[in-house]
Amino acid sequence: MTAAVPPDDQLAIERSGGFAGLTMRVSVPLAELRPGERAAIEECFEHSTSPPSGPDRFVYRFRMHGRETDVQEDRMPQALQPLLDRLATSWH
Amino acid sequence: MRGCKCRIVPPNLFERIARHGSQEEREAALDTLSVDHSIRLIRAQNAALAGPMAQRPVGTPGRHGVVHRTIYDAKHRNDEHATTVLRDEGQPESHDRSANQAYDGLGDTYRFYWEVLTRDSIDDASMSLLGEVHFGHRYDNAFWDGERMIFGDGSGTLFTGFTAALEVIGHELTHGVTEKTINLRYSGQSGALNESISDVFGCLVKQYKLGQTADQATWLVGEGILGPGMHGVALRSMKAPGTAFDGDTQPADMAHYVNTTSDNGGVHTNSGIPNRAFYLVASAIGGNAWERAGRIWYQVMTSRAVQPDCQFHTFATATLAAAATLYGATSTEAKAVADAWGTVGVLRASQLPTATALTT
Repeated sequence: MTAAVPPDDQLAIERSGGFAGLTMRVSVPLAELRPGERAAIEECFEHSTSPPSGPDRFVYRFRMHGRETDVQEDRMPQALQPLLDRLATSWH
Repeated sequence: MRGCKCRIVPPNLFERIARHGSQEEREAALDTLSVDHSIRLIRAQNAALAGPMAQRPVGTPGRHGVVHRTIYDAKHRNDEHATTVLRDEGQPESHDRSANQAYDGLGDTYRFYWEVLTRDSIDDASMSLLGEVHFGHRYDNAFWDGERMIFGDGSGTLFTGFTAALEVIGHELTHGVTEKTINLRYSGQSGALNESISDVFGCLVKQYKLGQTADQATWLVGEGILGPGMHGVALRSMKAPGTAFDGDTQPADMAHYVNTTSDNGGVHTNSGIPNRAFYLVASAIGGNAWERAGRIWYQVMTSRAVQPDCQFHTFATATLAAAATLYGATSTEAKAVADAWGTVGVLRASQLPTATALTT
């Protein structure tokens, strides 16, 4: 269930959970991140994984430069919401 | 090592075997001690709660049995506290299709819990049912946030919306019921049980609405909401886990249990195992699944026979105890429950306590 290590210029995101329980993935070139998004992602790596927030919420796993962290949907930094909105139809 | 071992052999003997026996003897003794502990707990709790549960008035006019729904519009924002009301209780149909579907689905779910289980809403105390539609941007999900049932419109590729399937609405409302009763921890096996209970009662809400018997029902969860990017008939099949769509990874038995760190430890994946156990119970008993199989599962929830970190094995034992309490130690129902958990590999034949041991 673990995705391959992403290239150095990519952010790999896995989205699991949700009512459907589908594990979906997407890769985002770091160069395409908007101002503030890279910093918000770095901040996620600084915090330890939080406990499950509630039934059927998504769980996001960020992987970048050999690091990995899980972010529960309701703990997602506001600054990353536009990124997730842009990816709404890109999951595979 | 079978039959009524829990009653005849003193627990301290099992403890001695667990400490000093061979590997095989130790495992068997530890299994037995675990079952025995569950049984004692369940007996005590059933005895304490059987009285009030049995005396609960059915259909008392007045406050009980009256649903109150409010459907809010999230206006495509990630706002769980939206204040714009699309439809309040008693109001005519809204112009908004999702709002009407949520309103009707919550009504059907309320009616099921009240008419079948005499449960008055999520908290059994007339709690208002709050729904919120159009959540997020092309949001491919629905969830219970502790106060509201929140529904996305779907991305249009994976899903086309979440209010169109009654079992999805029943699933989300049941997360609220679970939270107010046994409050299963949302991780690993207890999380998979939490998920399974929502699928069980979500399907029962739909079957009750359609008047379907166990053999007439599809036992599918998420019918009619798949978008063009999904190939299949639904999201989950309780009857045949792992067959609902291309890429469905749900296991049908313990031999195929999935160990994963995604999805809080695979809570939507391993729920296939208890889902199938429920289907097997309902199928073996026959008739309307909500009448006896559903009653047994609900008894476990409301008698609080299990702890929040309950694992499959303990839950299975609790359903066996509930079946014996409700229908008798040698009943068809108790046998159906024992057989089902045996088939999915949660209880081995040698671990099954006799139903008599559970009720005396």
